[in-house]
Amino acid sequence: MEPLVIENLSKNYNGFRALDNLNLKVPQNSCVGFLGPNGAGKTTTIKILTSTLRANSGRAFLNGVDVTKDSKEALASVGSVVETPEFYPELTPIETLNYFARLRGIPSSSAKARVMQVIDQVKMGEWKDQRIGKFSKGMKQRIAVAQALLHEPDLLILDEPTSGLDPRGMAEVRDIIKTLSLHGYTVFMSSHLLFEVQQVCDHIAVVDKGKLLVYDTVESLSTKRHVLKLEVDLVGKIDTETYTKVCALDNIKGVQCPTATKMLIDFDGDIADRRTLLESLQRLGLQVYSFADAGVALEEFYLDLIKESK
Amino acid sequence: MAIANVEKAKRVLPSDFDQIIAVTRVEFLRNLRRKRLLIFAIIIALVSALVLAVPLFFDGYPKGSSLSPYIFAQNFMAGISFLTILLAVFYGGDALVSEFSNKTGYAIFPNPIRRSSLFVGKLFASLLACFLILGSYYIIIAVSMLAVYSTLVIELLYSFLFALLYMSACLGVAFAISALMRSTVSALVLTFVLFLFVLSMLSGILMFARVRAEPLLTFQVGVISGFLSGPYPGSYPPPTERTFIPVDNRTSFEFVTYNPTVVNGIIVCIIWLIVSLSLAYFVFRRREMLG
Repeated sequence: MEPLVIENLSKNYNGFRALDNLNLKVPQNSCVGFLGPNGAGKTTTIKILTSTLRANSGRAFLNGVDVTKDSKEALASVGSVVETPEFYPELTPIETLNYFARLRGIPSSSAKARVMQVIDQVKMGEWKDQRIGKFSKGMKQRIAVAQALLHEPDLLILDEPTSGLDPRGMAEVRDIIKTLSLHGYTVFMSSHLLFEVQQVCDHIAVVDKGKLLVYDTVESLSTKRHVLKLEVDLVGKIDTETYTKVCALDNIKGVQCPTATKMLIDFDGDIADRRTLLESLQRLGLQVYSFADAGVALEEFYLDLIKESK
Repeated sequence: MAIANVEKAKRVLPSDFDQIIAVTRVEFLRNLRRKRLLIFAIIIALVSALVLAVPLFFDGYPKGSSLSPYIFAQNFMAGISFLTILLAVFYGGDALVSEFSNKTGYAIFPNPIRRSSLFVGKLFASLLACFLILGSYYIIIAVSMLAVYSTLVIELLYSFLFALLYMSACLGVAFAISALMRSTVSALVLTFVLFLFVLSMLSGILMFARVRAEPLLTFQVGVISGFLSGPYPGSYPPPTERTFIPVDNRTSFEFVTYNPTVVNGIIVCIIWLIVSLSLAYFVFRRREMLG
């Protein structure tokens, strides 16, 4: 049984159709990245799944229980972060997490230890006894992640979980999600950050105008689309002439130079084509010391999809 | 990183009752932390000190009549209407709306808890805080009466019990407004304006038009002090009192005062309580986290 099943889910806001018969199944032990432009219906979907919005029609099953019918039972083994939630400002992280532990039926004998464990996991130990009212957005986001993990849920629903965090915090939260995914947790997360989804998830679902445009594994998309991102590091600097020559090579879809000695190449070809590309770069006189696969060129793929949808 | 294996025994969710207790405890703790209890404690201490101290500078406390303890207790009732309204505003006005306007609902609602349990827990916490404050005020009155007259009158208990019912009805209205409004501030202001101006003004207009304002909640507040007019039921004020004020030698102006009756007071308060809480619950249960 899939831990998350969405069937014909629709939602209207005063005539605006935010979700249009959305269907989606999230397999067990997978990490699904939920992508889409602003207003595509990502947050609406997550809000319906977490019982903060009501659907106009359709059903959404969490671990086999329809959340639109019995949210208490459906959310029993689900951890979630929706938007950047606020917490009661009068309480400390420990008091807040103890409250959630009681609501979720964690025995008081084990709650204390578990609360400390998740506080340490999100690196909030130093502020555990301070009132949340004084916290920054990033600190609140860490508490939000902690409460989502508190009861060791088997399904995590995350709405832009790294939003508001500093780069270090982002990396830490991504590491947590990746590790959870490896430990058999099922993760369904929305994000605006394409590389984040690429880094963390094994499946990608793209929505626009409330409709599902594509849903597949990263591996399968990579095979279908052939467009890979290759990271090429050079000893010398790249000049304009060389850049133009690289752009003109076969199978090249785009070239970016984030630094003077690094190229990110969107490449549409198989393994043999990749070998040919490396030889061509060397023939151009470039001293390549690193030539690595950086995953699917999601950005191009994503923008193409959205363009087609419009 | 400490991560538990996902293959674990299915945890049993707590009952709705256990969750209500958890919500009540946390909401009460929040009330304590927000210092509202402390502010109310200071208010009732100041009012009590004033009522007890002022007579000492003039003729002292009323003595020499069996009605003296009643008159003494009635002096404390002057501010009871304002106190109950303030309690309703501060403990009910923002109880529900804050989950939506402050976005705390994004953290609370995705938990496996029914909105009904949240609603009841919040209501219990607000009632508990209001009962504590109101109870403290009546304890001060009782202790003072005992100290001054060495006696306690049963009507003080009747007055307290009705004050609790009246205050609960006011809290119910505050909850209904809180469920309906978009922002915390507008809920607090509207509750305050409704009780202090709208209902009081309507009551006055109806009395001027010589119509009993029986259905109005604020009209019933008179029962609280009415019990302390003397031994109940004998001394309880009549439903209608007519006073003739002479204008000249031939004519006089008839001034009519309507007093609430105990039975009607209880019925009206219960109706307001049930209707307002039902409305508050219906709206809170269906309300969505938008924006």
